[in-house]
Amino acid sequence: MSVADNQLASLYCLVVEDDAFARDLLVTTLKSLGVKDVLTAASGSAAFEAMNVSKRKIDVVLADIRMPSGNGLQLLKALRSGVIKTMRLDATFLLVTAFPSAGAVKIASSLDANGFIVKPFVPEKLETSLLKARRTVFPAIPSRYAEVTVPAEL
Amino acid sequence: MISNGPQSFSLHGLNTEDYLKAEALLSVEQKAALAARLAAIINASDANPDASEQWESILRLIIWNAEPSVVLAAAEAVAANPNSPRSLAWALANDDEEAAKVVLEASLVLADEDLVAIVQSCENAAKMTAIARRAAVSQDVSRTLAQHGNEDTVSALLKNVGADISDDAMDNILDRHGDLETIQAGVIDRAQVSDAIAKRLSSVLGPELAEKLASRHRSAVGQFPAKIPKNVVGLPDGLSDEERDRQIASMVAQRSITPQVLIGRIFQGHFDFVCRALAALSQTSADELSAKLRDAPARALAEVWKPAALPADWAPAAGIALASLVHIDQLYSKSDTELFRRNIVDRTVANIRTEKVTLGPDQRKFFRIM
Repeated sequence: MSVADNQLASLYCLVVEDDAFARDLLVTTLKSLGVKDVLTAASGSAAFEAMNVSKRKIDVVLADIRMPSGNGLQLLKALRSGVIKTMRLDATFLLVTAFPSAGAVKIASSLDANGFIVKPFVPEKLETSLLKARRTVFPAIPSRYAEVTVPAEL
Repeated sequence: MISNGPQSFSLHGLNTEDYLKAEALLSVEQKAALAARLAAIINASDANPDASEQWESILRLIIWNAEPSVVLAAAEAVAANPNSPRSLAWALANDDEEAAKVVLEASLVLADEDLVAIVQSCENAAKMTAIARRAAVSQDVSRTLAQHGNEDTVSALLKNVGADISDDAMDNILDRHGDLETIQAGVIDRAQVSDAIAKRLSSVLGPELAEKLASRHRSAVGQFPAKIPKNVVGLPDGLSDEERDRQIASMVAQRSITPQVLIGRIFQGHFDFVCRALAALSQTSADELSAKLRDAPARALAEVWKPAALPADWAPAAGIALASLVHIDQLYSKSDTELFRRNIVDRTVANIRTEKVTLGPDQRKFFRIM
């Protein structure tokens, strides 16, 4: 696929993952898919900071669910509720996890996560999920997101 | 056990972890069958709540990650299940168009506020049209569709007998699409049209739709314009009978009632003025002449033309003009006075050509100006 044909080519992504190996693997995979650039953070709170200070518009956030110091669902809730002022409420947000539970899926759904990827995955799977996540357009309703309870421990 | 046919599934105890382990082994058809089965039985009265929670999780993962045909199968089953979790219907409503349309049109678990929010944020006409086709569309949803929908969406809304469309929404529809005949016809075809909307609509309708409006919504149309009583031929000239008679008497005295004046008044739709002027010129009863001119305009006008001492070469054209006025009056709405008058002129000119009436230089000049 040429860069011109690649719908991911213009994307500036933020990968939020506490495990360095998993984070590097995700970054490498995203770059192999042709995304424009990838920013990284090792926790939800670090991602929060990164989003608030980033001078470039972040198009896609990919966050692990289980992380110390701010999990992926807490970060998603902060974004959807408008706490992160630099980001659109309906910004593309995919959750990535090796341990999916029905409870986590329910919370992610309530917060209108654009994607939910279960590890391990192949690059094609990530590409398909990213493309679908980018197509998903929904009305962001902060009052609904504010009512969603996200436990600190998942 | 998960095998080929949907009836082969044993769903007892199926949880999210089981599904994820099996996911890679399932064909697209098997996943579609599983999705349809789960979506059909989720939250059923005899379903275990814990099992339903697991099935909801599996379906949500399918919606995020499965192939479009699988998501569509899930959408069809979710749309048909009145007990579907709202979160699934909401996710599907915001998914790709094919799956979204199914849920948006049929799911009973989507609330009005969901539909309003989707319409407000959505730029997809097909999704909006699906909402417009729902079995019941509330006033709030109709209002939002009227504000955001394109011609196709609004047409679908108007055709929907289950759509509750308030007058302010109708006004919005006419503001945005009122010049389109499909929309005009759609409004007219509604079972009920308020007087205010009928009045507004009548000002933009062509002859055929004006007639349709009048025949379908006679009570509403009958109230406008109030100054034109139904038993009056043509249009009012704004004068009382006494004022009109004084004006005619003055014009007779000044010999200023010419064929051009009479035909001009015919083109204005002023039937009463023409009757009374001809009666005054021919010194006959205005009421009797009026009745004759209504029944057989061209012949009655020809009979009174000579006694009125009007130039004979104008009589055929004047007869055709008067016959046109009476014809248009019988067939078309008078709510749009300009259109009504234009119809008289157009029919007169057409019939002069059809009947090959010979026109002198003055007449040719007159009709060219008209």
